[in-house]
Amino acid sequence: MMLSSANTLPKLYLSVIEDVIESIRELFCDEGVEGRVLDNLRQLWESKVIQSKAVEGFMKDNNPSNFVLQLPANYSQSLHKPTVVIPAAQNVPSFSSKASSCGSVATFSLPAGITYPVQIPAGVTLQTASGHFYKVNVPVMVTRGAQHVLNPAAVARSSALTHLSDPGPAASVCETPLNRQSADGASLSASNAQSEFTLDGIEFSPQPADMSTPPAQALRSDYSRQQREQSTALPDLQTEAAPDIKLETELQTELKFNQLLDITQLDGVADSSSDTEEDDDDDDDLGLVGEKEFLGMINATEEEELEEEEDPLNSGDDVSEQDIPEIFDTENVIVCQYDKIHRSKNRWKFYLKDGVMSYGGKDYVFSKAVGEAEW
Amino acid sequence: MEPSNDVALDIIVSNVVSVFRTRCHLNLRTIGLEGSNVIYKPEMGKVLMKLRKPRITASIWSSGKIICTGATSEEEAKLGARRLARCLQKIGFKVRFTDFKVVNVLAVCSLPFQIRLIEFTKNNRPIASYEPEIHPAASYRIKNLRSTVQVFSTGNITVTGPNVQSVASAVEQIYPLLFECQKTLS
Repeated sequence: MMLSSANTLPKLYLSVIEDVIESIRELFCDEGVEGRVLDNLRQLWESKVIQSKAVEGFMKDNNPSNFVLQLPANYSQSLHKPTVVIPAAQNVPSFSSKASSCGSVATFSLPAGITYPVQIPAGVTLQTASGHFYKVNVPVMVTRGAQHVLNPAAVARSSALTHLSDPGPAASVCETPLNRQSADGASLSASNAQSEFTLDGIEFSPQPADMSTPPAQALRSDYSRQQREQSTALPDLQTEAAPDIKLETELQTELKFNQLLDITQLDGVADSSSDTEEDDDDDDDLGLVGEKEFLGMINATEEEELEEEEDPLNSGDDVSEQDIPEIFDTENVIVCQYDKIHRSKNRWKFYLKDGVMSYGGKDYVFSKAVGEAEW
Repeated sequence: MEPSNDVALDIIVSNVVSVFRTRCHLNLRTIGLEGSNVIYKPEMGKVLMKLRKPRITASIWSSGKIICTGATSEEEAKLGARRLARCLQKIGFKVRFTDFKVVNVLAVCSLPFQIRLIEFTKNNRPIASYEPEIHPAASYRIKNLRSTVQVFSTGNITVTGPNVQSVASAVEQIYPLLFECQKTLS
């Protein structure tokens, strides 16, 4: 039925998340909040979306493993087979390696059935299915994206990949910050961020690869210490069954968020500006019920005071509707704009547009929706 | 022809309109946002609230005046109005149920014969008036009952009056006059 929605929805949501996070990054900085908090927010957000199972395929698995590896000149002489090391446990059919006419560059594509993780040596240039080029400066381990997508800020600090010319639109997560050179290795040591980042559903993590031809020995010494620390953590993260660690980190990030409450909120529900006087034009003055006033809901004792001889509103005994407590606790919601809402007697017709709907636990997005209902 | 007094006519009350006051200002926006089964019409300055049982629709103004329509009997109208006031009370307004009054009752009745309207109008000037180019029914106003009967040539009549009693009396009063002018094949 709604298959088309299922394909585009993860991308849409990811782009929304990206837009929001990036556009408030500056505000966060101005407020003196660390960028890390923003990245945690992003992680939390994405993990919540995944947990809610409202969207299928949020893992950015869309373009699985269509990698085109371009091997630098070093390799051309040594091998017919690429030196991409694939863990032995995997049953990988042989690569189809197309040696190009000029022997300096050999390209081959990883087969679709490949299961990760895959180690890629340095000096290799990767082209993902979306068309982005990435040159590997430091040996990396490519894994399939784990439960949650990791923060792009860590991407900024890592320099294992250098982003080359970008042929396509800037859709990738780690596009912009990757242009730094390997001099950032020092900054990497300063930050304790995980040097992992995702790329179209694949995680890259700089790890010491047991390569026979490591070109960047100096860099590796910088990384080695952190790698050892990280490599113990990384396998946890990379396995699909690591809920405990995730829970812990989430708890910690939530605690951090509580400390953000001293940020003044200028709009929305709990805004800090005064709310009573700004009300509608007509409904002010003798407003017996201001927005704050009816918070003091009438309780039973007060209701008796309202009784008079003529109108004992019986505090709701016989008189109250005793709501046919309708099934109003549904979680099915539509948030949209309307073109036209029409009613005849008790027949309703809805002409809606540009909306997102949560129905049966799943999210759907539409540009036009028509509905009919009877009240 | 003697009009028989034994005819049992089905007078069906189709609509009872009533009003009451809550004696307190009502914030229409609040009602529109927080009430259930409400339609906010800011352009008209009122909120409609519909109830399922009894099936009534109420127009609520910010002054606290409420008009309640759709009931099928006077008791139902009062019950519905009280339920409505109770709903507003639950939203948080300090409503009182005062000045309840049924202002209009609409009933229909189907007579077992057709009527010659021109003859009926001629016989009952000036109480009856008939302008076929404007409206296909002849209207008959009973001043003392403050009721109006609209007579259609098919034999259907509609009666509007301030309460059910006056409506019933109006039907009784007009029946013999209509019986005289029926369209028999004679």
